[in-house]
Amino acid sequence: MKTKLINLASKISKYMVNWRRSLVGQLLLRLWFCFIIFFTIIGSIQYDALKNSLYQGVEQNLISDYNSIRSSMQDWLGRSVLPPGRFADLRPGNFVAFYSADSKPEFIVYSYGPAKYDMSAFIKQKLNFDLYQKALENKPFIYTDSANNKYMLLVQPVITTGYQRTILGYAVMGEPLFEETLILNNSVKSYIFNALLVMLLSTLLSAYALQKPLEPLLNISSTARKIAGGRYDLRLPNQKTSYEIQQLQEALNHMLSQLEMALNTERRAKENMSRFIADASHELRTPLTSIRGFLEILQRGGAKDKKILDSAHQTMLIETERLIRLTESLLTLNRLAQEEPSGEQTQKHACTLKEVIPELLPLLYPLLDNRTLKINSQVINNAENPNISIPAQILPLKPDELKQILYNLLNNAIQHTEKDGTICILTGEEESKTTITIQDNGQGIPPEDLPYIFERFFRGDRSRSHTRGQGSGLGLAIVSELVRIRGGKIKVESSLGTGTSFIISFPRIGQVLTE
Amino acid sequence: MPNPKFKILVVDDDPSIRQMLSLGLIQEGYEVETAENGEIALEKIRTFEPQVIILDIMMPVMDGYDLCQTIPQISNASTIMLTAKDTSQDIVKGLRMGANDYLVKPFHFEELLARIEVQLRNRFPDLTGQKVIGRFTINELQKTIALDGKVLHLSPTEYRLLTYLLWNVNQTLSKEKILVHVWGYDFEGEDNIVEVYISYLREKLGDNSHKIIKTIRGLGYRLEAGNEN
Repeated sequence: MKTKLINLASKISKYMVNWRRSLVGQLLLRLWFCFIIFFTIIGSIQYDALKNSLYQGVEQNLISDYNSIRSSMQDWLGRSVLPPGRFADLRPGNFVAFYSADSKPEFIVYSYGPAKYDMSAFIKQKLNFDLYQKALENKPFIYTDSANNKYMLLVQPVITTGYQRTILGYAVMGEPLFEETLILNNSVKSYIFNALLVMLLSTLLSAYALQKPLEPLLNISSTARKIAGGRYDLRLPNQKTSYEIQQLQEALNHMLSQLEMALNTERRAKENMSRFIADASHELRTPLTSIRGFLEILQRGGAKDKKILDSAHQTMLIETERLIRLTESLLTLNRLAQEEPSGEQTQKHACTLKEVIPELLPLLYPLLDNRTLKINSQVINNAENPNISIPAQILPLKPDELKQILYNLLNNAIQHTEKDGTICILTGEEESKTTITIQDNGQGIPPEDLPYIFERFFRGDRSRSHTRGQGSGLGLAIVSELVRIRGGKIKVESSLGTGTSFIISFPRIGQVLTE
Repeated sequence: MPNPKFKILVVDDDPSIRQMLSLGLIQEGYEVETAENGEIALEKIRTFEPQVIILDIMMPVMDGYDLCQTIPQISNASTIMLTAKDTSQDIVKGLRMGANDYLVKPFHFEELLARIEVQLRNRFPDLTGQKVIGRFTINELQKTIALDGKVLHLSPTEYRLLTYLLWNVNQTLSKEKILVHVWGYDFEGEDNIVEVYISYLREKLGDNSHKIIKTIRGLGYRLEAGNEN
């Protein structure tokens, strides 16, 4: 029983703590604070007004009492007439106390009617004010006796008539403030009761009324919990609610989409990375497989067979070259991926086709077979001494980089062009940019492959059927990275059967010099 | 290795691997042909009639999975997948698609040899190319079938039909399946050619009472090889 009670108490106290920390609770606390200030001000104004109007009536009574005994009091105090015990002209309940000139109590005249207080305390007590002073002030005032009874008193001097006016003593008109105190006390009590009632009712009503506009906040938090649980695609519902909460929702939704985007980007990067690694290991495994296979075959006796020995040597050499090219390409890509495109650095490098083409031709010429290679409509017939004018556009690249870009693109074009095809290097100059286009009239790229051709290890269906020594699938990726880090752009236009153009453009940095 | 030899078809798009496997397997005494994609492979399966097919998964035109699913319709050769895809999902997928075995590149050549032997032993326990099925003895290398020890004189089509029925002994085969398997997809004749050849076979087997090759009405044919198996 006891533990149950303790449990209950702790539950309630917990609830109270929670309640005070809730938004509704906080609002209610502030509401109460306002109510208390408001009711206190109103109450005290009302109380003062009531007190004043009540006391004004009493003051009037005292003045009229004074007027009614004014003529008699000199005689009474001078003992020429015996003062009566009660006096009919006094207001019921009132009294007049007479004091000698040296403030000694003489006698009291009561009114007819029942006394409102037991006045013994008043009579016995020595007055704590100066009668003379109060008589001079000539104003009613409130006096509290030792029994805590309240009176309103008016002190008037009793003055001798005749030529020489002297103070005979003092008459203290008094009215017990019994009813007035009662009325004031009752009004305070009922006022406090009413105020508390209003506060209670308004609390209940406000708590109910506040619940409704705050409901969206609860919805938000329940949705937020779901989102935190991994449902990053969820959004806060668009609720019809107050402006502030709507703004909060919008801000949160915006944040959520940013967050989701960042997460997606990261996931895509991870997927790309794992696909890249899978592709790279596949590309590494194939040559390794044939090298290992041949070595094992030689070990199993193949070395005695000249035909097997020769093919083994040849294949292993080709595959080793392939491995070397592949690792070099991977290293190049890795280096390029770490460089950021920077405009300032761009200015440091400059080279022209004129510098690079003569070095490149001897490498490319053997691959051409019967294909025609042109530079701006001039056919190249001789690799060693082309004897043509090569445009000297300045490109923001290192010579090695331009060489690699051209070699990769031309090699790619050669592989995708029939033996009697034509491959062109076209240069162009626009207002703000310099372009180089590598154009072929080969088989073209299917539209569904176009978005992926710059991805690492992407190969079109046809080029997947390897012929010996063919590219690793990294050539175009390297070109695109090189162009990117030097601040240029590369795009590809292709239609099946007609051919493909790779267009590289750089912001223009110099003049064209053509010989 | 006995003479004549078991036949192996190597399907891979990489020329180095094709060359390595073909030279290596020839050295081990097999007869080897190669194909660089799935389409060429299908053609060669029909003409070369290999006992084992070694195939890559990632190939142009028709990949290894598609090829693997098509092979059982035209050949009873065992398939060994040889690929750089090494996750267990890839292996499970390959095996579910119908591959008999799976080997990840780079592999040991000796392991490949052992796995080829496993596939051959499953069908020819003494590795002579002979397999006894009930009253029949089938010699895949010599392309002969004997009934109760007596070699049957069969035309190539009859041989293929009987081999197919024997490898699927006690199973009911529909006319369509038989047609595709024995005559090929591109056969454009009437499907009653199956009935005609079944009747030829029954004659050569002396199966006048239809006790060996049973006609299952509405479903096809079933070969019952007798109680010796």
